[in-house]
Amino acid sequence: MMQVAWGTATDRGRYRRTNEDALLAEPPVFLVSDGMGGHAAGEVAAAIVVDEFRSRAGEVEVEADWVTRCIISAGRRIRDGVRGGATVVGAAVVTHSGEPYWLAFNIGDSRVYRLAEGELTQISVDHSYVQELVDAGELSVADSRHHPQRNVITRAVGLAGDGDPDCWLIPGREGDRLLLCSDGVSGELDDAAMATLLSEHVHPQRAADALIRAAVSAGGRDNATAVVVDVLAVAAGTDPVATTVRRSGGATNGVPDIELTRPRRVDRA
Amino acid sequence: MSSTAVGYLPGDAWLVAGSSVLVSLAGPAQESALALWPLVRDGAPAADVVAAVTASRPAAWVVVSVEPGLARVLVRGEPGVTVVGADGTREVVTGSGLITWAERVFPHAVEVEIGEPLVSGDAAVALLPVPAGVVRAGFARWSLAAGAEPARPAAGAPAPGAPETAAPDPMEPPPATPASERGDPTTAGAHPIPTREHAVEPEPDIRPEPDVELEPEGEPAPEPDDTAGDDAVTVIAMVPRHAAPAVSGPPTLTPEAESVVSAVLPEQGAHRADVTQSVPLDEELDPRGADRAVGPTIGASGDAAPPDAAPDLAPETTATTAPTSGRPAGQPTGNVLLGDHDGITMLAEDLPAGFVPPRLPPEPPPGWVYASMCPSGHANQPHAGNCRICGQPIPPADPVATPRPLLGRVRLSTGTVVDLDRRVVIGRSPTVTRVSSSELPRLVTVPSPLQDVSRSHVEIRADDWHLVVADLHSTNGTVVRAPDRPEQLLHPGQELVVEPGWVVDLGDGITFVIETAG
Repeated sequence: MMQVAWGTATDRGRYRRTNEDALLAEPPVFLVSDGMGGHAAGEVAAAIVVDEFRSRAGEVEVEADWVTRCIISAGRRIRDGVRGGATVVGAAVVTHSGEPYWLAFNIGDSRVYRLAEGELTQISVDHSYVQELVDAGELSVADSRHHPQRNVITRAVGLAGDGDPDCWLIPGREGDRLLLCSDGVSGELDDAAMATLLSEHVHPQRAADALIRAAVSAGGRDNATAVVVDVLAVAAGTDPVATTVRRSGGATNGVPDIELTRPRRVDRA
Repeated sequence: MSSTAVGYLPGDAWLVAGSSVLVSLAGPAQESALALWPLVRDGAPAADVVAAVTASRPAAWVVVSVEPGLARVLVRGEPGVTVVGADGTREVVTGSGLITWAERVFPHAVEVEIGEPLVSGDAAVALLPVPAGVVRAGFARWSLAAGAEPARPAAGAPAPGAPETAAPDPMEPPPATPASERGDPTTAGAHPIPTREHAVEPEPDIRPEPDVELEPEGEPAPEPDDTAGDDAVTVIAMVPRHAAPAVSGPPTLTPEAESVVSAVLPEQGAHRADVTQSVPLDEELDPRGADRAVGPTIGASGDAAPPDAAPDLAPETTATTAPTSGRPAGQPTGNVLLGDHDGITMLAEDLPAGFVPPRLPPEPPPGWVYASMCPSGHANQPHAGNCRICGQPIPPADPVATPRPLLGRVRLSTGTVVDLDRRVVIGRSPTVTRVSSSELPRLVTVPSPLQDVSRSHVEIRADDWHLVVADLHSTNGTVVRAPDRPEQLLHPGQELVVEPGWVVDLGDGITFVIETAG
C-alpha cells in the first residue's frame, strides 16, 4: 500500500479563451489531458478522457490493460463525437508481488516527471515531431524548446496511435514526488525552474499552484495544468491502494494571485 | 532429354528413373516411389537413395547408381541384376537368400540387367520412353553411352551405323540386346532405329570421364577389351511379373520380361534440367499418367520419334490425368515433391516452369505462437507427437496461430510463485522504462540486504515455445544451474534458454526455479 498526498492546479493562460486541459486526481489514478481541436472539440475530448478513467475506476484492479482499455474507449468516443483529440499522461498506483508501483502511461506531449532525492527526472517521452528529431540526433533538447514545430504531436487519443500507450513501472518510494503537467507548463518552464519550484514547496498543492503561476507569468501561451503527487509512506501488502490513501489537497486548492480555473473535482459520488 | 531417356514396358513394379539413379520397388510401393523421386531426380548419392528405399521397407528392390566410371548395383530380394561388361561378359547379382542386400561395383560395366537375363534374340524390343520419372514397369532398360558412337557395339546395342540415335533414344527401337549379341553391332543396327540429329547431341556429354579407367579392384568385371565398351553402359532392369507385354515389337522380349526400360545416362546437369522441364512435375509424379502417355508411343513403336514422346506426353496427360488412386483426392501432387522434407537442395533452374514457392506463414502477433492442437484442444509445439498435457497423439495438421499457452512459472526462494504468461522482471527494486502497455512485464521485488541483487536484475520471458532467462546487466551477475551441466555465469545482458528444473541464482540467497505450467 502506498499513502499519497496531492495537489492540482490549472489555468487557461494569457491567450487562450478556454481551458482545454483536464485533470483527474482520484486515487489510484492521476492524469492530465490536453485537448486539441477547433470550437469546443479539444475541451470535450480532454473531458472524455477524464470521464473514461473516472467512470471505469473500480470496475477491476487497476493495471496496464485497464489503462489501455480506458484510452481506447475514450478514443472511440472522441471519434464518434466531436472529433478533435487529446493527450493523456498519467500515473496509477499498482502492485506487483505485493509491492506498490507507479504505472506511468503516456500518449502525446504532456509529461510525467519524478522528483527523487532533490533530482527531477522526466519519465515520459513525448510523442512529438521535435522529439523524433531529438531521437534521430538532428536536434538538441535545448533547441527543441524553441523549434517552430514543437507543438506538433505524433500521437493523440482520438486521432492516432491511441491503442497502446507507452508505459513505465516505477517502484513507489517514500519521499518521491511525481509531477504530471501539460505542455503549457513544460513549455514555459525548463527543468531547472520546475525542480526549484517543486523543491521549495513542501505541500503538493502549493507546489502545483506555484508551477502554474510561474508558467503563466513566463508567458502563459497555452493552457497550463499541473498535478503533484507525493508518496508519504510505502508498506508491503496487497490492500487496495485507493482505500488506504490519505487524501490531501485536491479539492482544496489555494486561490492563487492570478486567475486560476478551479481544478476538476475528484470526489466520488 | 534423350540422354536420360528410359525405356520400359508396363508392369507391376514401381520404377523411379533419374539421370544417374534407377530404382525398382516391388509390390505396392507407390508412396515410396513418389517419395524417392526427388532424390532420384536430383541424382542423390546411392547411399542416400538406399537409405530412403530401406526406410520404406519394400520386400524387394533394386538400386542402380551410375557414378563416374562405375556402376553400383544394390539388390535386395529375388530380382537379380545382370551386369554386362565391356567385353560382353555377364555377371549376376542377386539378393536372394541374403538378410540385407547385395552390393557390387562394376568399374567397366556397359550394361546392367536386373532380373532374368535376356535371351539372345530379343535384342530389338520396342521400349517405352521415360525420360525421368516414376512409372509402373515390368521391365526397363537404361543405357549409358559415351563418345560419339563406339559405345553401342561394345554394349551390343545398336549398330555402328546408327550409333547416334541409339544412344539418346535407346527405348525406341530398343536395343535390348542380349549379351551374346552385344558384340554384334549389326544385330542392333538392323532394327529400325529412328535417326535424329538432335538425339545425338547428348552423347558427347554422356560419359563424364571416358578416359578414366577405374581399377577393377578384384571385381569380377571383365577387362574392357573394347575401347567403345567403356563408353557405354546400359542398365537393364527387369521386374519379374506377369505382365502383358504391352509392346510387341519386332524383336520380342524374353517371355519373362514384361517391360524394358532403356535410357541413356546423362552425366551433365544441363541435360537433366532439360528433361525435367520437358515434363510437368505432376506428370512425372503420376505413374498412371506416364503409363498412359506411353500408349501412343507404343503404337508408333519403331518409327515413333522418341524425342517427341516426352513433349507429347506432357500435354496429353496434363489434360486427362486424375490423381492416382493411391493418393487422396484433392491432395496436390506437388506437395510430395516440393515440401523438401528430405532436406534436398536443388538448383532453382531445376524447378518446373511456373513453380511458385510456398509462402511462409506470417509472423504470429505478439503473444501468439503457431501450435499443433491435440484432439482436446491443447496447444502444443508444431508437429509434436503427443500432447504435452493429456498425452493424446496429435493428428498431423498444419500448425495454427494461437495465443501462447502458459509455458511455465517461476518459484522463488522467497516463496513467491509467478506465472510466465508475460515477461517477468526480478530485482531488488525493478523498474520498467517505456514499453507499450501490451508488453508490460510483471515485476517481482526481492529482498537483498547486501544489495547483491541489482534493482532490475534478471528477466524471464517466453520466446516462441521457449523460456529465456536474460541478465539485465546486473552488477554481480546471474548464475544458471542445470541439473546435468556445470553452472553458468551469464555475462551482462546475456540470454539463455532454460528448461524446467533449472535454477537461477541472483545472489544474496535469492534463487528461483523454472517449473512447468502443469
